[in-house]
Amino acid sequence: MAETQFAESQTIRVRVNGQEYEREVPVRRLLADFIRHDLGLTATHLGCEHGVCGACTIIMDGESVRSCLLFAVQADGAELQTLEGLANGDEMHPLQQAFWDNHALQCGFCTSGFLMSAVDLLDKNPQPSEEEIRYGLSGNLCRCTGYANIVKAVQAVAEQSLRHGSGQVQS
Amino acid sequence: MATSQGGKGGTGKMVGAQVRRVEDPRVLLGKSQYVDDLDLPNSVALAFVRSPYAHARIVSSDVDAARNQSRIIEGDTNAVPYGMGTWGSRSAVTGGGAISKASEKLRSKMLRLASRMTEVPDDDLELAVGMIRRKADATPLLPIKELAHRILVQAGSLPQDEDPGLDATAHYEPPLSTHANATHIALVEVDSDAGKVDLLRYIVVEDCGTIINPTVVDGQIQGGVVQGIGSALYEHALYDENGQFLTGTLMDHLIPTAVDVPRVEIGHIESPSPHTPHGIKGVGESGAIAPPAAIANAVADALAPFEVRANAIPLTPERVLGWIEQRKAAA
Repeated sequence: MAETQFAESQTIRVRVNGQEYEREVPVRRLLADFIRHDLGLTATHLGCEHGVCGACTIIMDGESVRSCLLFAVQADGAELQTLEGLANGDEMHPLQQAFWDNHALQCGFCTSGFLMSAVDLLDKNPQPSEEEIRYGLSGNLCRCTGYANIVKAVQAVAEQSLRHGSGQVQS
Repeated sequence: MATSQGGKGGTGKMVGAQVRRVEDPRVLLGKSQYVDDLDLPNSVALAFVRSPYAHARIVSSDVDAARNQSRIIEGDTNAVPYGMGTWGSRSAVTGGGAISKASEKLRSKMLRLASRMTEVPDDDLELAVGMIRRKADATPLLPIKELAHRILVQAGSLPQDEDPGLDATAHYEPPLSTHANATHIALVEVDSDAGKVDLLRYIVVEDCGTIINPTVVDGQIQGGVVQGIGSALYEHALYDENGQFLTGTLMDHLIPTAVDVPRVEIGHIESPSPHTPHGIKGVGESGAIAPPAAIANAVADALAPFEVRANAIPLTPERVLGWIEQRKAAA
């Protein structure tokens, strides 16, 4: 039987934080490694590398995903958002500001994943209850904070968007 | 209910390099927005208002005003000398002690040199925000900016026995142990058919001596308790009979998530340590140590009708149910 030939690399096009990239990547390169090493966007962290800790969470076509569980080639043609895309120049995203204000990070390793999960949560449910926030963030592990201040920060942003009547968090 | 006392060996040494002149601010400040405008006055302020301890020690009580003139450098392993981790109160007690000593050295150097410049005895001088003033009537005598210029830029005019620069290094070894103290109360509900333990409330009253930063203290307690809840209910380093490690990934070794833990209700008692500068004690251990004992005691209390002794952790449903069934079978 003739041996099937598989391509070892493939050219992909992705849009990350509004910027277009075209890169040739080994077909088995993880999306997380592609983002960090090929694109140099190191705000996305890698914790467990098996889809449990949530540190590598990014937004792909409007859905939060774990970038360690995807191959880069699976993101071909996709629109991605990483932590680098949250702030508007020197102005922090409301969630970043709220994390700062509420002492929602201690060592900070898990923070980028929590922020991206929280962006996705508030995008879909701008006024979550505390329970909904806790469930929405339950795919992310934090070893330092005990979660209380992370939940508080997300609540603060939800209340803020309610006061401003927009109902949506700018992202 | 359980009371924890985390002991701390007094052997840690830490270099008090926190108070020192910044040679290349970019190295230490990273991407801070202040890099570009870090001119002389700023870097001077940076040098002596280096931490909350230094705030307290050097710039009197007006922390807000001081904050405007200061740059706080966060810990960066590229920028600091060798350390061995934060365990055993090495941050607050040992690091705090070193910062305090270094700040004191710097303060007395500034007053000594200010005394020469103003011809007022240094005993009559004190540091205030942005200036040296007369202690008795708070008359401003010398802006710190001017003093800094003299010490840093016109260093040639200093007395022979004075080194230029506004920096100080100190080493500190705690003379005696301090102990992290806390009392923990857990309220649990146990499903006696399934063995599942639910935490309904968790209360901690801690005593870390002088509270340096209330937000950090609360964060340490909440975070420590949740680590302890992990030990009590979920986390298990498990080996099979061949020595094969079975819980080597986060899929198997369960760390509590946001849905598994309550918001800890925290109270504070401040009994300053007589052995450390500012009465500081550590705080990290007083959250993390007691939860297994507090939760296991609460589970034992809840299962009193079955006369269960909850004497092993983690208190998994399997284990708790096993205890209940054992007692039922024995009865």
